[in-house]
Amino acid sequence: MGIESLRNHLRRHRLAADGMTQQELADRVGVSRQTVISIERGRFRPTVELALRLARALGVSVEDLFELVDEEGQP
Amino acid sequence: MNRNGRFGMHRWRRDPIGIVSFLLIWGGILADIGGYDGMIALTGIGLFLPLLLRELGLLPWIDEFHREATTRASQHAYLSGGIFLVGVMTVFGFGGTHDDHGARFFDEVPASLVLLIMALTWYLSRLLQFWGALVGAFRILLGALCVYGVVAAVVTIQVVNRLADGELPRRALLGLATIYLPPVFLGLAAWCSRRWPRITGVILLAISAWLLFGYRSTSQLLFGSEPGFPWQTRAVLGCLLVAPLLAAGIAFVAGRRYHD
Repeated sequence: MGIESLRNHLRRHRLAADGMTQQELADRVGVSRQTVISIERGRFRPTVELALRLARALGVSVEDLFELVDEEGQP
Repeated sequence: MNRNGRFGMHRWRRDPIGIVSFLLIWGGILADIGGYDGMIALTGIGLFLPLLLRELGLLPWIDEFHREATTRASQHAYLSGGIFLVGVMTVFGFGGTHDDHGARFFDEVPASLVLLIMALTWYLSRLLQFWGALVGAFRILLGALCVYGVVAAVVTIQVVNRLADGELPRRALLGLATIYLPPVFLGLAAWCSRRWPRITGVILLAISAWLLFGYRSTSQLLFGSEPGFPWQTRAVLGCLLVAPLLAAGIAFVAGRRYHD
């Protein structure tokens, strides 16, 4: 099995949710705006609990927000 | 007014412990430089008390990102403090250097210096994690630029006043020019880092290595051949000088660009 990395689509889904701001999303899930920024930029991997809260706040599934991709960027 | 509240003040209200910790850490360091030896304990309190209370469950984390960033910064501080101590014991220990009373030289390394190294590492690591490697390193350079800019301005005012009073010879103006080298260099490095981060990082690391390992020549450059400060004070000032360069250099070289 090759090396896999985590790719996220948080920013895309956040903007699709009526252009929700990072601060609004942060307030909804109870974290700081810096946390949302760090997740969107791939600097921080949220726990399962926070991933579930983010998915619920945006009305999507966790799999829509995060996916594992291989070295070539394929899911 | 921005969308995140009036002047973004919500950020400060959200982490009052962080502000108190910041004031204690830097207040202790500045007091130590000012010669108030025992006041370095403030740095220790600012650094360790919030961590201890959070470890005991008496103080909540802001969120899980805050917890991870703080935990990683603590790990970095542990590594830097430990490596420094092992280095000192190895160099001075194997050197077999003792003073007239039989005390080993590494016994002379002040605890405040180890605490300073840990505090600087912890703070810079946290900044780099909160802002990201490249942006964080850029802002650290700008912060250092501001600090050295203010120092240069204050020294300039004092020298000009003393020149006007005839207390200093005119050639002191030449020496004054050198104090503007660090701010100019930091500004140049910050500008270059936006275009060539890795090259800038390598240059910053090389300069840090020179400042660290060419300690004797650096000390003479900074404080003259007959330094008025004890070596412990010079080491503290050296740490404050090198730490931002080293942290920014590592971040520029090791950091990667993030894409959505």
